[in-house]
Amino acid sequence: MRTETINPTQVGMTCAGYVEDGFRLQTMVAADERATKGVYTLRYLFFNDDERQGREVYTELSPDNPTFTSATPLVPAANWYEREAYDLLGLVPVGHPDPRPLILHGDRLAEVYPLRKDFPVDGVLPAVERTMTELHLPEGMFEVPVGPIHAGVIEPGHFRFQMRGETVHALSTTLFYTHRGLEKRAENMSLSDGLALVEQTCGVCSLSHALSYAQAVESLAQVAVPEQARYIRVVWAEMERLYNHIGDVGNICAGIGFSFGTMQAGRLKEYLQRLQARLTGHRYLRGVLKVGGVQQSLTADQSHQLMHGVQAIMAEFAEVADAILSHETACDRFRMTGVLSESAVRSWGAVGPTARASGVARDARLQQAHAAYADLFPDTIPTFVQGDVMARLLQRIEETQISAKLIAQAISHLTTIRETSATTDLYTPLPSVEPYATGIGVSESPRGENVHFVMAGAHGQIERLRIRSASYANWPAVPEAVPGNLIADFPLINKSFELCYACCDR
Amino acid sequence: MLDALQVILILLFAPFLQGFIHQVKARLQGRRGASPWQPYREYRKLLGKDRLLSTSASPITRVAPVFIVGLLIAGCATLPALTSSAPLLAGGSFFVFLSLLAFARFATLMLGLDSGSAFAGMGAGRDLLFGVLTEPIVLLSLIAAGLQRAAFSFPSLLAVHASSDIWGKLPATLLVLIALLMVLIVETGRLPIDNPDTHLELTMIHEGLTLELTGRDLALIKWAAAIRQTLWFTLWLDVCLPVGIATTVAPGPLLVALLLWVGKCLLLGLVVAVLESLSAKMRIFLVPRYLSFALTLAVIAILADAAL
Repeated sequence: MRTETINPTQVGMTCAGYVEDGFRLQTMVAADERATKGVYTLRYLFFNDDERQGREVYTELSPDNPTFTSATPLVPAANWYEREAYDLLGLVPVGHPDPRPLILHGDRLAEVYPLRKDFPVDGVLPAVERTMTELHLPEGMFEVPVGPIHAGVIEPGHFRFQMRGETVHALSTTLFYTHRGLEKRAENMSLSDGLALVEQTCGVCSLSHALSYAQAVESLAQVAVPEQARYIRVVWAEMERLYNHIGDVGNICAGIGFSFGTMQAGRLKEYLQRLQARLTGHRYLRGVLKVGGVQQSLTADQSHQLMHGVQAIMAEFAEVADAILSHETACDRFRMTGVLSESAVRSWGAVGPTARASGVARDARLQQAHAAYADLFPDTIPTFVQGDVMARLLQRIEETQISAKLIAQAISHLTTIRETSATTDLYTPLPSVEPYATGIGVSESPRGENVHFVMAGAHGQIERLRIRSASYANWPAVPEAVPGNLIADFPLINKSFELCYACCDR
Repeated sequence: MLDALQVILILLFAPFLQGFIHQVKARLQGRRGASPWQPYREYRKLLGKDRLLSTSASPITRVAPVFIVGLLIAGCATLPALTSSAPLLAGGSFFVFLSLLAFARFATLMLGLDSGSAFAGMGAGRDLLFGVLTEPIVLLSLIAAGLQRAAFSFPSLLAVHASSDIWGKLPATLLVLIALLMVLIVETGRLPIDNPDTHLELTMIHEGLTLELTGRDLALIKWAAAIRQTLWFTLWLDVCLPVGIATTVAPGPLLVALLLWVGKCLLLGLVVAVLESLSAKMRIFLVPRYLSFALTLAVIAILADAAL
């Protein structure tokens, strides 16, 4: 990857230039490198899906004046990254259109920046003050606050709807209630132990996070993963997508109280998770991967059980999906609800099924082939253009078929490897790594591209970890899909994105 | 004596009917579900809990739950469940019965608005919209059922049924039956209009109004919802399927009437549960269209009646 080193005042213009050239902002990493380089650093990582190549924009900020020119006015996707750098490291984005705190809610704390190296890992943040301002809305408009405590047992998020009657005029979100400081906790852990921590980022995308992290470490340590392990990674990554997509189809039905769809999809998802528990020992596939390869092999007998289970579930799921799509009220609720335009996907850098349902063929399995996807993945992917709830539902239903096919193909490759290959290595041991080497790992989770950035320390520990989940990329796009819809449709729209709070908040 | 017995019967049976519908729905969804006695356990649990009041709550919140249950008990006393010959409140007038329910609805709206929660405000707006539309349908349906003999109270309507063959004016009866069933689904807050099992506060109608209640108040409001449901069921049965209702106060026919009433309620509960399991919640602005269909049926029923 080519790196362009620039001056902090050139950040905005340089980033805008890359976006004009067809690149999108993939992640931004701010780091406290005062101990080694005497500066704070910013790395804006860009990726071009058409040309399949990445770029890094690197800048150094002096501790005396930790400011830089914000890229957000020109590159909206940089919004959250820059606010996060301000909140956690005190790096000030000059010219940012919305410099409110993102992660540490309320009024900005002066000189308390938890991700700086001099802030102890067990340090306690002071209580946050919150200045309340009176709302001035035009005649006939009112505001509906929702959450962070909800009527159901769900993850916390605070939503403010500006309403006219039953119609939403604007939506603003406040997330990061489940910010646990995972990235701070990871610092000084050993590179191989970090995996167990990273798996806790999220419940439902545990394996994808582990995969991204393992690939980031493998890239910085320049380790090659054994062929067998690459195929096993595909099997479990696709199983994760399969059980998530099927469960998400059920969740969309829950948004309209369609109990048949909810219960049937829930049942099939549970069956898949029990299958995973039986074969790997974990319902959420934790402990399956290892830095350098995989922890567990997939025997011929296990492969057989897996194939058998997946085929049975896919046959049942086809019937359930058919019943959902032939339900008149359900389809009426799904169509033209929560339309996310292609331009919103492009300007916010949304990823995964969300992007694909709005006509953007963006898939890390295709454009940033990892594991064994380069050998297995088809050249084209299904996309839908409408960008409504229906499109996101259909997108998931289509993708389950591809996942089932990929699992079958990976398993047949594994059989060939078992028969022909002399080595049975499941992983390559991690060598000692070059101090301060950096690596990026990308995987396609059920919700889209997960990007992990890892910088090694002087003695093979983690110096800086940055987790950019698919949910983090997609959350800012959700408010774009809501205005003009009925407020009663918001739960449905939200469920059609099915974004995770915990792995966005970290 | 007998009138009090009918009221007590409805009050005690209402939670079971609620639990029964829940159980049937669970079975239809492939779950085992809770026992039909679960609502009673839930009320007991809630009665043992502390009462939490919002700092912005006025005395309305304190008195409204008791007031609503009181109004519904009066509603029970207006409606014949077992026999048409026991004395009833206001002679069992349609208008008094519907006014009592409307008053209970108003009290529920006040209770919701008093909580200051945005969800209650939205629920109140939606509930009022539907209420305005359902009341004329019910009135027209009841009038259609009793038009020929100028029967505008439940006992006289039942007398019409007993003396003449309701199947003789089959078209009108069928239309009234469907119109009232459609209203019953709206008024009892069931799918495809409202989802009684939802946790999504933004979509709530009836649940939204009572989201802030706790302890005793919540138990009372849940009980009130169950009573209201049983009242609508009984109204539907009185108008559309009065088979077996006693015309005397003799113990024999009363026992038969009791068994038949319970059986018919459960049967109607089964129908509602099946309808709920087959449907998804419709767009909120389609509900007026749904109700205008019911209104049309009621109007045609009156015309068909008048033509006979």
